[in-house]
Amino acid sequence: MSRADGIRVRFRIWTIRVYLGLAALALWSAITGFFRGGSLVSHLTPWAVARSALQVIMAPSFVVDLLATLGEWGIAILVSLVLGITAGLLLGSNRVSSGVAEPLVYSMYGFPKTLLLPFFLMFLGAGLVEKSGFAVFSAMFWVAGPVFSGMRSLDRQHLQMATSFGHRLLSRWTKVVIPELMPSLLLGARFGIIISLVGVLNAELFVSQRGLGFLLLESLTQQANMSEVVGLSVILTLLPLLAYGLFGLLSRVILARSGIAEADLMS
Amino acid sequence: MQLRAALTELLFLMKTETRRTSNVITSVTGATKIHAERASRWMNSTQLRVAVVQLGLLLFACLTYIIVQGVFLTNNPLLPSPSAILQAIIRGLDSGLFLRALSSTGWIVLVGTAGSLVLALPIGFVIGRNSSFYDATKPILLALFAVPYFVIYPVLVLLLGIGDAPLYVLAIVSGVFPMLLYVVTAVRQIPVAWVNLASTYGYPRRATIFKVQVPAALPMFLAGLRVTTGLVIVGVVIGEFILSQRGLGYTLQYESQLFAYPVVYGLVLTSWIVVLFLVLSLQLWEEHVRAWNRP
Repeated sequence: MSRADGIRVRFRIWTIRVYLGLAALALWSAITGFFRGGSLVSHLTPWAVARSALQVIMAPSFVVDLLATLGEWGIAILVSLVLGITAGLLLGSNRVSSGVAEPLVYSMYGFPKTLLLPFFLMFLGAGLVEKSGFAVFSAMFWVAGPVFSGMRSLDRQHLQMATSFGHRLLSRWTKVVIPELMPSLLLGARFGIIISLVGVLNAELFVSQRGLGFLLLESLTQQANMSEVVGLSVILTLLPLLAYGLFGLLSRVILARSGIAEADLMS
Repeated sequence: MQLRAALTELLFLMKTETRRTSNVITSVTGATKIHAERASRWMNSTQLRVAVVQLGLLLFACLTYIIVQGVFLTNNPLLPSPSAILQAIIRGLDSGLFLRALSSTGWIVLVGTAGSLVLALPIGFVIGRNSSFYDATKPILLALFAVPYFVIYPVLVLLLGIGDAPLYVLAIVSGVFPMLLYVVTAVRQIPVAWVNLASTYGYPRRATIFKVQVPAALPMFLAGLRVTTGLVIVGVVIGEFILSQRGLGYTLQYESQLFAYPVVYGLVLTSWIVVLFLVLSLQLWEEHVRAWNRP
């Protein structure tokens, strides 16, 4: 494809995106306009939603709750990545261990871990450890899954070849294993970032004294404040989208530099 | 990168050489059969080892729980004895408490999954068939996978009131975008060569759809169904945790507030078994279709 063709295709794609965005906005305005008789729906027009989100951000207590959630989320990402990647590498490296772990890893992948949240609360109490711990538990299987699959499908002959070329263990890992696993590692990390936020918010909604999840629940149950609920919902929708987009950009740069294809999210 | 390229090239040469040599040997001595038998025997021994280790780990976990609970933490209410948990399960099933909770959540999950399927199928088909539409929407659909949809539940409760209605809407919203992503991918993965072949053989349009396109898209579609069901369950249970009058999340929340820990353990264990059965059944179905679908 020539450069001009490339530009034309990109232009067409962006035109479709802009039209889709405008169509979605028009549909949203039309629906909220149609039900305008109900006072609660007036909070849901595009302008009202944007105004609510801004009001929530400007509130003095918001920063404290945001920082609490971000702190718990950060800890959860870090620990779930370390645990998930280590587990995926160790379990996938051996035929017997991968056979033993396979049903556990894949069944925990789809299992709603929310059901186990009461246990975290019972054993760890309501605090940072409980929230981050639950988020780690929710995310680590999603991190371990792609790494585990990547490790299992690793071409062993590449490793044997590197050994016959005299590469030592560290060199084999840095020059053969890690580059081959890079797409799986980045995919696992992307899952980990998203799911750990879901875990943190889930724990904050269940029992907490601060954080954005707690703020959302409080504005629903204590105040029934529609404007604040809508604003918080928008922020909590945009936060993971932002993190997802930024990490996606970073992983694309890493993979493009190494000349490796990106792993499919649905594989 | 250079090392990887060299390795791939060398590997290719070695594979070609090995194949050529082994072809000569096997054709002369008939060693293929012996190799196959050895591989099968080795495979069986690995599978046996895996099963033994799995069983051992399960026994170890059970024994550890019994010892820790029975010897060190006998009076700790947080760790009820296995017999107390078993009694709670029997009582929960007998009184209908567990079945009520599971059936209420299960019904909402079923409706949510079906609803998201109904919405995602036509839209996904349109997007998947059009390359420009697909290129324009794929990053958006992937990003929508990242949204924790349960955050809109409070808005739905304020709009629709406390009850099942907001849970149904949440279930559909939780499932529709992931399902859409999988339907689009399923449609895109239909091999063009198969469709062309069907057309060459003079298949009518309807037969091409039902005998070629649908079976080709089925594995990815089933994978989508599995993932979507999991996500819908998560959405509904969290919704029930936040504010509801019945269901699995509500019952777990209520019983743990009453410190009825054996009931909580029993309910979690029962629902775990039900969900695992559901997830594994869908996974087996998907594997079966994948194996059947392999060209």
